[in-house]
Amino acid sequence: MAALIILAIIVFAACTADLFWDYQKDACNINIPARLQKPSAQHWLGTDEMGRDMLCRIVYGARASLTVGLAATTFALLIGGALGAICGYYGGKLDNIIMRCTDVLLAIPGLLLAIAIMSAFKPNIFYISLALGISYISKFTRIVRSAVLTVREQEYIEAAKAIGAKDHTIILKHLLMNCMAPIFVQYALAIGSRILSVSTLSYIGMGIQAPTPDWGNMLSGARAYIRGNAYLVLGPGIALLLTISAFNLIGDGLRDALDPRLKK
Amino acid sequence: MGRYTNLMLEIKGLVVEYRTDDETVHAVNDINLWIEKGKSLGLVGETGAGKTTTALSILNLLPETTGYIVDGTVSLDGEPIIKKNREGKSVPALLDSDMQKIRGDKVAMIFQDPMTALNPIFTVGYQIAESVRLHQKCSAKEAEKKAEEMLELVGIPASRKDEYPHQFSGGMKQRVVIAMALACNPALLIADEPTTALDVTVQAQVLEMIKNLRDKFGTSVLMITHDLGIIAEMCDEVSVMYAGAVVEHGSLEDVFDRTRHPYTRGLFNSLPNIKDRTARLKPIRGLMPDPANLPMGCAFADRCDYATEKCRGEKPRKQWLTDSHFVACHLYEDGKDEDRL
Amino acid sequence: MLKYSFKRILYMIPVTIAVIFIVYLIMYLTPGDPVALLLGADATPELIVETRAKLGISDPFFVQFGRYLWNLLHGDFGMSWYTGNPVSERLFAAIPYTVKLSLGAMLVALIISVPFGVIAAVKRNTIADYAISVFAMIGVSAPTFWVGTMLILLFALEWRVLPSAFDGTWKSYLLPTITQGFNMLASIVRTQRSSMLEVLSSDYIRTARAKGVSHFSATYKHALRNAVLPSITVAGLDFSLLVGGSVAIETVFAIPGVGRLMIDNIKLHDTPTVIGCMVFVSVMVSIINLLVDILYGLIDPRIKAQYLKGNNNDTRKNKKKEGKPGTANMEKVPEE
Repeated sequence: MAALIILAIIVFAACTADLFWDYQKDACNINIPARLQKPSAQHWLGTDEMGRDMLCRIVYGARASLTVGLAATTFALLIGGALGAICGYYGGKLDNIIMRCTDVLLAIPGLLLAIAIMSAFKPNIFYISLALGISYISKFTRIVRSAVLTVREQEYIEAAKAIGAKDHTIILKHLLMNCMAPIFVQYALAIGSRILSVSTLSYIGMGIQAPTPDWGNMLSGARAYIRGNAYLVLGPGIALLLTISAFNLIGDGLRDALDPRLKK
Repeated sequence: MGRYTNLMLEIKGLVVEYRTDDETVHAVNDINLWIEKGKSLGLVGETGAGKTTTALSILNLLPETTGYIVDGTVSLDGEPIIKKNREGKSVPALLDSDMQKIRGDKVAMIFQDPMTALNPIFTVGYQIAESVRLHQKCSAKEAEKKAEEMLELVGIPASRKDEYPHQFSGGMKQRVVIAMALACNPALLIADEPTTALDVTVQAQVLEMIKNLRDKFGTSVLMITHDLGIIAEMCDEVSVMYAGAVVEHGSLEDVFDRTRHPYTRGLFNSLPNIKDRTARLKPIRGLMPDPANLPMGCAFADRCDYATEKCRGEKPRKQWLTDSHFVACHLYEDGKDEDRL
Repeated sequence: MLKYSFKRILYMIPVTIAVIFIVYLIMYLTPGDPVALLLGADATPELIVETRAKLGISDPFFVQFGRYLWNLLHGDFGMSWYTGNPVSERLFAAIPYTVKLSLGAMLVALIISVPFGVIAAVKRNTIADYAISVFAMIGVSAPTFWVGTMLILLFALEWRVLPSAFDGTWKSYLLPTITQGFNMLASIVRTQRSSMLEVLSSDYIRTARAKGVSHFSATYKHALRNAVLPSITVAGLDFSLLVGGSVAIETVFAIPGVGRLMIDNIKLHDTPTVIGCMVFVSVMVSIINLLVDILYGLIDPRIKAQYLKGNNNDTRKNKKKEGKPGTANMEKVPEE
């Protein structure tokens, strides 16, 4: 739908940015004489407090967000999904232990956990993705576990067992294939959520650091100057809004399309 | 139909469609139904034949966004429910607020699935009493007493009135639903496959109960089912429905002993024969047509052993064979009441 | 119900201990020396070592952990490694702000969102529905700190209706509370709408109408009480998000709450203060979850029965499993 188009534009822009600008010169270098210019023909979205072109930084900022979003979510899915599948399939004590651990992790608000983890490392993309991925693992665990529990009781699983399929085959082939629907939905929503979180982390200074352009740290840098310069916060903010909405819409759309109950 | 007087329910020429963005489903295609006061009509047909839709039309409770009564009239005890306005279009004859007074009071409906028919957050006593309070001027206490009475009537101890639906088994839930339906002593009871979701033994109990109540109060009954055994037990007259149309109608003896329509014969034939265990089962071949895509001619033609070219091209009309028995089939166009199957 | 609550409260204890364990471990493994920061550039190595020994920083992990727990049992949150003063001082000063904000935000969110969700469902596919749904999508997708910034721009700087700096007056609480609750509000609107739609098409509503119940009563008496349950679940689950977001809010609005206290001290590597904040947060989240679960039990007799049977910790997961057999469960889990 429309969301996919928006997303395609964003990704496309992020990838082709190098054709229009030089990363070091336009996005990072400080250029004091040109600072705080309102939007004009030369700078379509104005310049920021360091004199850098806003449009350029916004486009480059997409890279950080998208990278972290994808990396963190994939990480969370792989680990959380595996845990959830094991929990759901085997049940019993193993299920209990893992779910209790998940409960504990859930008692710590995700952002705070990510902050705590980030404080241990250098704030680069790898560790940020790691921290945000870890704080999302429990969500995938619960989703996959719940899906597996529902599917497990289906007759075709019994049928597979009856012909002697090994456990891990059953899990991988039969169970997971049929749980794909909620997993896809959650994957899309998760990317949106991780992008939201990385922007918040950057905003409080524990995420992507200046001068690397990132929508979160752009908003944080603009804090002192917003009076009279609304454009400083509108640009990155709307970029965030559009990107995150795009993923949310995709997730919603997937959910509506894949939920058999809604087909009337 | 001047031969019938004193009708509790009269449906003439009913046509109902469900319209969605993707397609239009022709659920009911020009049917006539009638029930005399105090009698029971069995409405037989497979799933998807349009039986529930017919029932909902009587209450004017079709889903608002998709259900349309395209044509026909419905009247209950002489009073119009669906009428034709000056332009000839079928419209509700009463405001919804007036319909509400009739629903549950004059005509009550029991639905198929007892597991989901009751609101999980209200006690069963409350739900029955609500029916009473809606239609009779009485205090909350009196309504509660009546609810207790109804529970006893259906074989549930009155002390359980403060329990919640999830604390009852399927069969008992259905009995609560019946208690709720009969609480205001309706003149017409519509039972839509009331025992399909229940075990056989419970089935027998529930049917027995409906019969007793019917005999006691003189309720007219519209019994919707696909089970011929139930029809035999309970009903005075039978209408057989297929793909939204009535293909055969008559008294119990007419339809059971002098079956005329191929479909009805097919239904009887598909019952396993307990006397001849080695006989092969005889199902009706094929499937019911997609109600969104009905064929031009007789809807049963594809599955019928007696079909001719005429059947495929032209829809059969109703043919009265006797005073009480009609059939919609090209085989009987001359109106003679002979066994041609 | 009391027994159930008591069991849950007891359960909070091992969870809190586990939380302390995890956070303490992370802090322990994190490089950074608060003492060096405290004593400044000219501190001699001997002084550093001495101070560290005094504060117990050099002890092995389990010794520190055990000692912390023991003190906590006596109500002692320890001494800040950075300021040298009791942690409880700053912690208890910060708590009221965070509590007022978080609870206020949740209440505002619930009170506003449920009616809007119902309206969107009842007036499905009309302009009202689309408008509400678009608004909800924005609310769920917009970072709270940006919303806060925009609100400040609008209400404080442009229109000058509300103060831009936080000063403890009720007016200055308005914007932060709304901002913090914004995300949850939008989330609940969506949940409430879809839950209401589902309930409205259920069999028992049809039964009620067949009984002669009016449209209005069927919607607001019969359906709503059932439909509100998932919203309450979402409120409970999202509360931890809300509290997490308080960090950003307190930064945007310069509120001296627990979130700010925590990140400031993470940077300073002041473990006791950080742990103290975490304990508070974890306990608050657990209490709210308990209250939400109790509320849920009061509304839905099936859940109440489950509680009484002793099936406590899976109720939240069970509540959401309404899928018919044959579908993998499409949980409506809120996004973070």
